[in-house]
Amino acid sequence: MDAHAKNARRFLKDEARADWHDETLWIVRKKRDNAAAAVEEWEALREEASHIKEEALANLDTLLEQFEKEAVKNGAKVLWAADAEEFNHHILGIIRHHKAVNVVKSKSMLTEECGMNDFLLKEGIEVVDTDLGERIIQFRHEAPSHIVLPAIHLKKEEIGETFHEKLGTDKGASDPVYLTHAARLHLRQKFLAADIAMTGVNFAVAETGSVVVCTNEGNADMGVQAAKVQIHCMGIEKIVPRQADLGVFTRLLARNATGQPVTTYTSHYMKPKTGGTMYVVIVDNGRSRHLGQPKYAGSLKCIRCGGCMNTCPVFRRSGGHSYGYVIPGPIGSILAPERSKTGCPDLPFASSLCGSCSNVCPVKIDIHGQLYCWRQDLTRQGKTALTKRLAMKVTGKILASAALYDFAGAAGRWAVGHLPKSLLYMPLNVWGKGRELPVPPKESFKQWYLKNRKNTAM
Amino acid sequence: MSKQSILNSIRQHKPDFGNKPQTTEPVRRPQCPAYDSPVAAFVDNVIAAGGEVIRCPHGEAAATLKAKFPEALNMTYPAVSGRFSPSTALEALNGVECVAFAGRFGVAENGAVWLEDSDLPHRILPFITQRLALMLDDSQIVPTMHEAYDRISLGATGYGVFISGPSKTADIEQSLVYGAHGAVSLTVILSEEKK
Repeated sequence: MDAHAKNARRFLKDEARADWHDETLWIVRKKRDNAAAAVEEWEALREEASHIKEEALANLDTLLEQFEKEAVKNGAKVLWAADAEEFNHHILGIIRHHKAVNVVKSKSMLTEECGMNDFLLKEGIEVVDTDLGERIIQFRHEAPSHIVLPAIHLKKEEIGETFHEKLGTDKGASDPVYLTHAARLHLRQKFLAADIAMTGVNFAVAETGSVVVCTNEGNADMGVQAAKVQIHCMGIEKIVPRQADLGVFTRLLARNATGQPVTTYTSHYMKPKTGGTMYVVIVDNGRSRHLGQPKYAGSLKCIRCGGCMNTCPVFRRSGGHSYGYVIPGPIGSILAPERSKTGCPDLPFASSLCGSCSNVCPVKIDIHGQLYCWRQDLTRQGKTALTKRLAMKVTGKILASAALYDFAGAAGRWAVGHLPKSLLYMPLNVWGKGRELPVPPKESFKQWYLKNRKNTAM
Repeated sequence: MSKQSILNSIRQHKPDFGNKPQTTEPVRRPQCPAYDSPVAAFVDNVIAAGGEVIRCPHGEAAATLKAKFPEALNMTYPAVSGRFSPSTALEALNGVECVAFAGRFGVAENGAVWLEDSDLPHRILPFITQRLALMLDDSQIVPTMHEAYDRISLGATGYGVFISGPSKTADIEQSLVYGAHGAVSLTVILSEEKK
């Protein structure tokens, strides 16, 4: 029930690492601010991006059909998957059909969501993740802790240790240039031997049947252009109606993600290479149902920039793994209650509701508003922790009655002044963990007011 | 397959964002302030992305390329590009030191250069090469990505890519390293407009 709080506590035990994580993501946030401020029309761009996504979601059925028609005209094969299981079987089917042995994959949160790597491993197929951060965590059998910076939870010494073990780099070596070069040589061999290359999809253009993939490393193209068979995996919400819409989204995505004006490579795939085969797999996996939730459908506008994670005071100080859902951070906390198997009812509470996530969101998702709504809905459904529900009930009663409120205030002031620390900071006082209670005032504001200002005209 | 059931579920769960009809209107563009000098902004942004820019007089791009990278394969020469095709073995491409293409146009706001299928005898060439050089006329710089997409017709090509700077990663402790998988360096040879 309070998995996030427990995981966060574990994360915070290593104080130096937690501080580094916090400060590093804050630097990324500041880079984003500079990039956004350099574009005078930034707010108008966000407004337009939100508008395009809403238009796309409101017409998703016709746009998906149009996309399929155009993609097929281009020579691509389009497959549809209702859920993770069907998706995984489609991929397995393609691998078997082409008698493929070596499969490489650039970043795709969708394949993480569907548990594809583990599924294929059970079928004897090892997919090689080619994004450097993803390869690092794949070596370590970990999940990504951030959707744009998957290995942000690791220190270079740990990566050096992993590479020493897996790639034979020098023991104790931790220089990022040296380690990156070792990974380049290792993964280049994987690219050259690849039978199939998979990618995620940033945008799918209905008008032209194109899929667009953005990377800095060039791993999507190294794979796709080396392998005979290319597979692009997309959730149904990746659709944009027109080619011209890409002008809006490519201006926003990288600036909001890392502060770059654009990613190094923005690749547009339409037709398979000569002698090759191109697949696009369109996946629902709970998205169409999510679309029908008036309060929460807006979260499907997300373009996965990770901006809300970098700015979130809770994410920065608890780490992506503490969330326990494939997409961590503020956006993950509004997706998980609808889409995860367990519902993750504690995640909407893993927020200070400061609203910074909504302020940076490039497609203007009301993230903190949805977090607030989820708290109420999950509590009404009885899915939140019993202690939280009881505490809220008691608080509600007290705040509804002037007499009870006066009494509780007086009791509180007395208690903080008189009770021993061991009792004040007992385990039930969750608030007191890591916090000092304030020195109690002698009287309440009401008492002070009656004494000093009662007869003063306002 | 699940196509129909997915489409049915979408129809059943249509969201209401104040009824956004599907439009064929061109996307509304935010007013973009004009650049004083799009060329200067382009140069700044290529450099900021980790690339290098060499200016040269009109008509001297090939000579400038040859002086900088004597071993470069200049794909604007049919005699060079003709040696490569989509069926060229990857092993033969993996050792390539430097490849040069003529870029279609550049984008001032981010230093990106557009290449597409008909420029590329093999699609992997701009990525598998150690060094990449892109030749461009400075009359071919558009201000933003909006104008960039006006110049492109995705429906008329099989593959196209914007490239801004060399391949890079910061996945190890956010330290910026060039040459993750693609080209380790990018040089833009920018010709002055014909006088």
